[in-house]
Amino acid sequence: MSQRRTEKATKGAARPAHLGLQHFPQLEAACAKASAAFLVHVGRESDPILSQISARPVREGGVLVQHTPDGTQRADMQAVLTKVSLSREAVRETRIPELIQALVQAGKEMASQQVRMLLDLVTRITAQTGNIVSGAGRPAFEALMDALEKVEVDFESGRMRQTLLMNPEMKEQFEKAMSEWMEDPEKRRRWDALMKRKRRAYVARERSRKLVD
Amino acid sequence: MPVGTRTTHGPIEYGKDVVAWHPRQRVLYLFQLKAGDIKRADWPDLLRLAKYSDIAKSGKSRPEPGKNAPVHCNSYMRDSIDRQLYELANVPYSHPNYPADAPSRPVLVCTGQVDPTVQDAITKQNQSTRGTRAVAIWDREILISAFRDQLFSVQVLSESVAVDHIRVWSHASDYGTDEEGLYSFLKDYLGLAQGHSGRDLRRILAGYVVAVAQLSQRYSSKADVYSAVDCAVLGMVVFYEAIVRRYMTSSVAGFYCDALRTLLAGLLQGLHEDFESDPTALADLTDKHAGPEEIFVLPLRVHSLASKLSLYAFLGEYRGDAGNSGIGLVDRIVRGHSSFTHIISERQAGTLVVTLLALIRYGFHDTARDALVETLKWVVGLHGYPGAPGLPDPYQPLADIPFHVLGLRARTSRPQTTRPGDASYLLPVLVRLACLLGQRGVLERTWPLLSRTMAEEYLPEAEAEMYSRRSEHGESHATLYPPRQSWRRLRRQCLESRPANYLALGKRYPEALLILSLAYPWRAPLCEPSLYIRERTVPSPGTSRG
Repeated sequence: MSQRRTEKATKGAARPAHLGLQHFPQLEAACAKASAAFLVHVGRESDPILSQISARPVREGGVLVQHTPDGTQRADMQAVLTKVSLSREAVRETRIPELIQALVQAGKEMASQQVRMLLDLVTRITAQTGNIVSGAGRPAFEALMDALEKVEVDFESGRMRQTLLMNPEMKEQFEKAMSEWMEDPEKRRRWDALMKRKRRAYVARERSRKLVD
Repeated sequence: MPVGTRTTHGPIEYGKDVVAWHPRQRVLYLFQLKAGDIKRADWPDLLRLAKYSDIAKSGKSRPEPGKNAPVHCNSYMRDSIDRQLYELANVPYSHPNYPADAPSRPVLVCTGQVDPTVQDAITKQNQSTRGTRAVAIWDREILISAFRDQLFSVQVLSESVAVDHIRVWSHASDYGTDEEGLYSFLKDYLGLAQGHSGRDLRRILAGYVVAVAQLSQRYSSKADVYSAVDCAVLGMVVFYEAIVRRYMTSSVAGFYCDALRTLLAGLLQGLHEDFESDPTALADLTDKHAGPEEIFVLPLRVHSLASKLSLYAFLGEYRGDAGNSGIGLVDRIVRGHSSFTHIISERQAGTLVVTLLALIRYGFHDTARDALVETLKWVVGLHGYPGAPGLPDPYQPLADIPFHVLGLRARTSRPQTTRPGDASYLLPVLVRLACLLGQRGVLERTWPLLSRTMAEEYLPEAEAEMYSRRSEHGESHATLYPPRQSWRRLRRQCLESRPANYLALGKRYPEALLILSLAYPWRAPLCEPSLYIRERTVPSPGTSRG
């Protein structure tokens, strides 16, 4: 809650000292925790990208350095800020639904910020690793095949586990185009061959998980 | 008197009633003690000497004390304060345990006031005859100041609890944060009283009262009078438990209970005077600098203040005042804050009950009725339908409230302490009060939801369990109201008094059940209204459908 004051000493400052207001520090601290948990919950529930990404807390440090067989990536910690506004009347009348509405709105705003930051990070990393496939001026199917060639693909229960990010309108167009491509024998053959190759690579990768020498 | 001071008292006093060795200052304090005022008439000879002193200063001869003075004066002086003061200042004190050349400081201790003329005389005597051994005066004003200053910083407790006392005292933050620690300390402290009697028991009880006073004062010194009051309330309810567990006889208990009540009344009086001096401060109790969390804090703040001022009104009556001190302020708070009726936790049951009982007892019947009706509607609206959020139960800490309200129950670290909105400890209390006030109408309107809610209640086996914070004895009841209920039957059930064995202490100490409800809100259902509501303030067996 961005409007929280940080210094307890300033509480009730507008009133004479002898008429100080009672405070409940435990409750106020719990409000901050509950609000943060609620914002995260709303963000993950409301955004399809965030809802599919596993999250884990980073307890210390200002930079996250991630090491994988493909290399090392550094990501700076970035603050995600949002503002929760609640009218004075809502407070006086204990209008809880208004509070929840304000928190939902703030949660969505936070989620949107996080996704923007995530996409910026992905774009930067792919640019660094040379994994950018431009679709400009090319058939979409060719661009998709090129993109899938460049990435590691995992499988789960026999199905490809890969996420494509696109806006809802494009998603509809993509699904329609995909079904058309699968009806085209040549495109279908190329697709199946790619999937077969990727599945073999996945199985080989998984089978090679052992400590040797 | 600082810790470690050693005192001695013997037949050969030479004007010294008490000699005390101050280990840090390495000074002997020589005390001459006098009870009551020292008036000019008590001390003619010294005044006479003072006069001679003036004569001496003016160059005339000055008589030796007791030599040239008139005979009747000599005779008087043998037993007079002045003789004692003379010896106090001039006869050295010797004891093999202390250095022979240890400096001494003679002090005339007077529990009353010292007449200015006598003060002046002693000052002149100090200047003219006693030189460096000047006699100081500690009169009532100085003594009170010294006691007040020392009371809150001196350990008077037994060693077994002194360390714990220092810990809770020095770690004091606010009552909500410290509650568990305070309770454990106070409970352990009074546990020492078990098996003691006579002087030992009184020493423990006196220490307990001082400890409660010190802890309350600690919060007051941090400008948190609310925590100070809550701390004193907790101190009282732990004391009540010791009484019902028979750690002491009722005659012994009465004295210390009075002391605790006086302490609490003093704290509440300060709160009352503050707000009475500026009633406009009650118009809006919101913290204008706070963020959205204020939506959770405000209902608790309003309840807390209203209940404390209500308790002040009750205590005022019990000590013989008109009995409505501060109740006008309570009326303003309840009428001016809709958040009073917007309960966010069943932990507010105690503050709600105490406030409503005070409003009813002191004639603010309309305010009590309106508040009750609105509260009932609000609470019922949170229960009785699929997915109803309910309220955190009274045993849940305040910190659980926002998690509960935001529907994060499954994500809290204490999922076992939460429950769905089909049960309530508070609703039976509200139903009982509604029956008492003849509010058939609101019960009729809310019955479809109310009758779908499980009424929860704890019934202790005996008074000892009732005043304990938690008990493994007794029975927890869960009752579902019948879908079709008779108003008359419901009212008859609700107006039945609690068993007499619950109420013995409440009859002896009328504030006891109020204190219990405030300290342990889950005991509020056991606060018997008939002990607090005068017959004439209750409407006739009504059928108000308004």
